[in-house]
Amino acid sequence: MAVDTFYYDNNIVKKFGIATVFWGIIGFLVGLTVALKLIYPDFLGFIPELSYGRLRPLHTNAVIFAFAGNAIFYGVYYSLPRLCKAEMWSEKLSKINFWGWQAIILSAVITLPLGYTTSKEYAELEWPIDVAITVIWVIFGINMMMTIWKRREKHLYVAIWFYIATFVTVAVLHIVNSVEVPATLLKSYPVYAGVQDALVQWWYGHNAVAFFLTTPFLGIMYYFIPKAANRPIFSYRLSIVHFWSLIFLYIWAGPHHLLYTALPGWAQALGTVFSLMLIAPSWGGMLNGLLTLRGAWDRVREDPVLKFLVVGITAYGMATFEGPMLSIANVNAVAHYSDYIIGHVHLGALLWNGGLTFAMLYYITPRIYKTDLYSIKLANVHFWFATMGAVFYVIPMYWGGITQSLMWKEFTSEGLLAYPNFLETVQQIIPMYALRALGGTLFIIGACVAIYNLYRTAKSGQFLAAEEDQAQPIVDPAAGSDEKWHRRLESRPVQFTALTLVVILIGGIIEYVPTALVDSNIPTISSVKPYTPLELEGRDIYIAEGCNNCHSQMIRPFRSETERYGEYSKAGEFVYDHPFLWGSKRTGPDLHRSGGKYPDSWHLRHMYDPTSTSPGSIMPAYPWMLTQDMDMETIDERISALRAVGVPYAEGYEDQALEDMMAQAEEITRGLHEAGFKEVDGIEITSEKQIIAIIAYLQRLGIDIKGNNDPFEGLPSSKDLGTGALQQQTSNR
Amino acid sequence: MYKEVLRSIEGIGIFPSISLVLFLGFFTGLIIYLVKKGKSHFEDVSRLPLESDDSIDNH
Repeated sequence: MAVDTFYYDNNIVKKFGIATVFWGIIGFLVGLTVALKLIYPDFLGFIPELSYGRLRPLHTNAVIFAFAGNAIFYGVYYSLPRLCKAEMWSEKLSKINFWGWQAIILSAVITLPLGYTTSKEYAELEWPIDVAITVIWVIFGINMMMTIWKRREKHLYVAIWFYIATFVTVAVLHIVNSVEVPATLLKSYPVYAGVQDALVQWWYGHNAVAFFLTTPFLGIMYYFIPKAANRPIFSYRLSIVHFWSLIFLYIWAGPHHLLYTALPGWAQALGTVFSLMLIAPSWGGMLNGLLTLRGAWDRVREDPVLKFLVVGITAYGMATFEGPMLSIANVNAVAHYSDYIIGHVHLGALLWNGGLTFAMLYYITPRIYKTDLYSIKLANVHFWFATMGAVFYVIPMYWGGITQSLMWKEFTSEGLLAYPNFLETVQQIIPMYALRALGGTLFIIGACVAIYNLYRTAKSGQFLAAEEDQAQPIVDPAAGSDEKWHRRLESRPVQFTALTLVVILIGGIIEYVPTALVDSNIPTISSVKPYTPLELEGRDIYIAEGCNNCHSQMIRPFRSETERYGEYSKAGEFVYDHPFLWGSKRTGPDLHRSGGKYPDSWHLRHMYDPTSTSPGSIMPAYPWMLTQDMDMETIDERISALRAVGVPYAEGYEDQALEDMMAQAEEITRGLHEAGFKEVDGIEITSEKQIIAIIAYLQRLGIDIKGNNDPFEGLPSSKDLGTGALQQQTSNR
Repeated sequence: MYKEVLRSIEGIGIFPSISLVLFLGFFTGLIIYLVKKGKSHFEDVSRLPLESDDSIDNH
């Protein structure tokens, strides 16, 4: 029988490998920078582009999409052709995939520090980049599916199922979460508001972890564990159960990010139940990986590839036990908003994603360079730096997170908050922040050792750009139709992909559609009104500066929170919030009821120098808000875009918006001048500066339910005989 | 004030239950199928990543 000879493209594998390492180091270093900023708030201070709120999203995006993202492509472009016994379908598409992805990362590196962000976690990039991500992802998908279509091995091995699920689900998640209306070239508003936006975002956010950081790496595990151990996977049958249960259950778990919030209770309960069930497939997968090494444990001592795989899978097991536990409401009540969650994600990111990525690098590099690893000793040094780095990172975060959270909740015997000053709880855990930075540094040192080792390995070998292999073509495509269904399904990629799509859509639709039916555009609380143009500008500055990275706007219905912050947050208060800004972490206090809490002058001084009003604060200073002008040119476009997504600004109001904006700004500025703040440190306070808008926004937060005040009262548009700023209420539902 | 939220979820409680039943049905069917087929049925495909081409059955 004829045997085909064909060549695997190692060039693209090499490229993705280099990109993984390159962006990895950058992502880690940005992470270390933001960690240092929590200890030394003035570190790299006073440069807007390098402020904490702008760099933190850069860190998360770089690590997830640049480091892990390139690692996924690295693993897929190496293993998929070998499992299909076929070269990648199109070398051209491989190249477009590579350079397109790098261009997307580069645009993130530029736009995020400049303050162009949607504020939605792990989906911060603005709409033109969202479009580019979609295009490149589809190109990757076409290249992958066509390679599968042209394969010479009839059966799709389990790793490929996980790759297919990754492609399909990430496409769905990204598109649904990115439905937004552009206001300008780099500013958009999501069509969802408040509760809906929160649910869609965390459906996306959680499943980004599931289908970007978990399923592709499970595929990688199912390929590289057998390869490195030179024995088949422990149980193929378990892997079938693992795959289907995991993708079915994962998609439901998102609401566990929103426990005790204003999200409807049934959705919260659903999130908890499915998160708890997730432990079964997650551990099934972990055990399948670890048990493959039965009888080969002696090799784990010697082989750095196996070492990283084992520590990675073990960390996966720990993190996937922790996840369901954190989804139990009363555990979540303590851990949410605290540094515990930061520890939890880094256990996964540093050891599971990091571990598997470095295992791949140590496995693939010597093979494509036809040589041996330069130094096993250095790889072991790296292993210990990485493992100890993660330990030094994660444990202080657990410790600090629980400590701070319990301090927030502690009452004195008189029934008063034991630590009414939020800063006391921050000061308490600063040593933990310092230890965390040490852990991160150790991890980075390890990664640098790895780069040196891999570089020397490449230098010592001869790069093999095209690797020859031979296989019989599939003679009879119809063969195997007498097989029973799963075995049959495994040789039918189209049906397989369709079934995967159906499975992930069930959870998405059932959970999401009911919430989408909540008509968020009709005020459920009649006193809740849209933002004035100046407040909107302030809100956009809040988003651009990434304030939501450290401040929540969601007071949970606990006495410890209502005592500290005020009335708990209601779903109806967020109907005009495009996007929602509930936040997920309280490095600083919640701000939902900050409106009217302090005078304008307090905010002025606080933004200029936080320690002047709050001694010991680790909030960075925002002196540029006193000197930079607010964006007056695009306010009309932003009002129009918000009307397009459903905020009831009257037709034509965009033309009056600027006038209203300046009138309100002048009012606030006059107040500041009267209070004796004509200037701060020689900087004159004038009405067109950003600080005025941010003050207007902060003073508006959470006050609507306190009474029937009209935010537009006294503004020029209110004197208009026409419709004024807002559409007339036609129904009083 | 939760009227809107509550209205939209009337009858919704059954949806998650339906999907849970669907999942459990699928899951149980899968387990039965896999147990019936036995380990040996999947031995060849589980060796796919390993480079022993002779064990690959292409029909």
